[in-house]
Amino acid sequence: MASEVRMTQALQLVLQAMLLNPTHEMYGLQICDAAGLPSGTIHPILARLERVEWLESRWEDVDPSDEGRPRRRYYRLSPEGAEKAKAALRAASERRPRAAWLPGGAS
Amino acid sequence: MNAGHAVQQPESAFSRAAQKVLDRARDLDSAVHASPLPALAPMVVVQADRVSRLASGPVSSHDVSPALTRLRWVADSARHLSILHRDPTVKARAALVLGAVDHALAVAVRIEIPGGIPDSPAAPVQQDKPVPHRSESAGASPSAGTARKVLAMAVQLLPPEVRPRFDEEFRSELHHLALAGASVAAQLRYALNQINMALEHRTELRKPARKSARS
Repeated sequence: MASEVRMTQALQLVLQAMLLNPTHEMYGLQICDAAGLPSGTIHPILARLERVEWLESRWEDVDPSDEGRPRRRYYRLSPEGAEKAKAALRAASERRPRAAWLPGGAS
Repeated sequence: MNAGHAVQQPESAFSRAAQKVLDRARDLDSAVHASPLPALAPMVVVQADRVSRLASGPVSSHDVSPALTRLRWVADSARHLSILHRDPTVKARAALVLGAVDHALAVAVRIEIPGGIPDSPAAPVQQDKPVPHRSESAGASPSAGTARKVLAMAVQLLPPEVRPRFDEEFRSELHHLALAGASVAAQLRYALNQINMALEHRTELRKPARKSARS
């Protein structure tokens, strides 16, 4: 079955990072760190995942004027999204031939 | 000392910094012998050379933006080469490229970015009201002013109805980067990444949402 989202390499890294603890909420910078992507590069991916409802987001529950800083936006996989993400990652990994120069790649 | 030389112009400093990036990129290229991405190291040199050319003449604010984009590419590629290669010489030279790029970025921020960049990006939207910027501009935020301005530009490229949300979200991330001790150059890199991704982000945001979750 075709995935609802285009499984780019960066998107797979984001999903892998979020699936390490699917119920855990993370904000954008944390997701970048966890996925090993440069900061500031993942919002199109997060938007894509939110659009297909694999991802849920909410504002941090603080008063910005009390804190003196803007609120964080927290993301986490929806229960349905976590299942679909696992299936999509499995499918992507079955499709992808491993490069010879990568560990575990074809010799 | 000649008084004319006492104050270093950002433009000439940028030219020297760009030349240093090019030198480091050439060193890196010469260290990369059997690359799994054979075209990458020479491309780093090509991009660094273009930055150097952009920086060698009279640099206007108009030239800074493409130079910064290329510098970011050079840094990303050096990082990739450092990951892909086990050779410590390659890793060391890639680190030197990154250091030179960081310095060039720090110099570049001293060259004025075109005027008229709004400190406050979006027209307010009632349902998702953004946090006012005043606490930051009053000095509560440790983040770099130029990075905030570049972020404001990135937000302007998004659909109007989501600008307040991403204005606050991006500023929050920049704030936390700064609190974590990120250099001015790193903050600027974050903001430039948002600019670079803005059109893709906008495209994603404009696609219709899924009608409902299917079982």
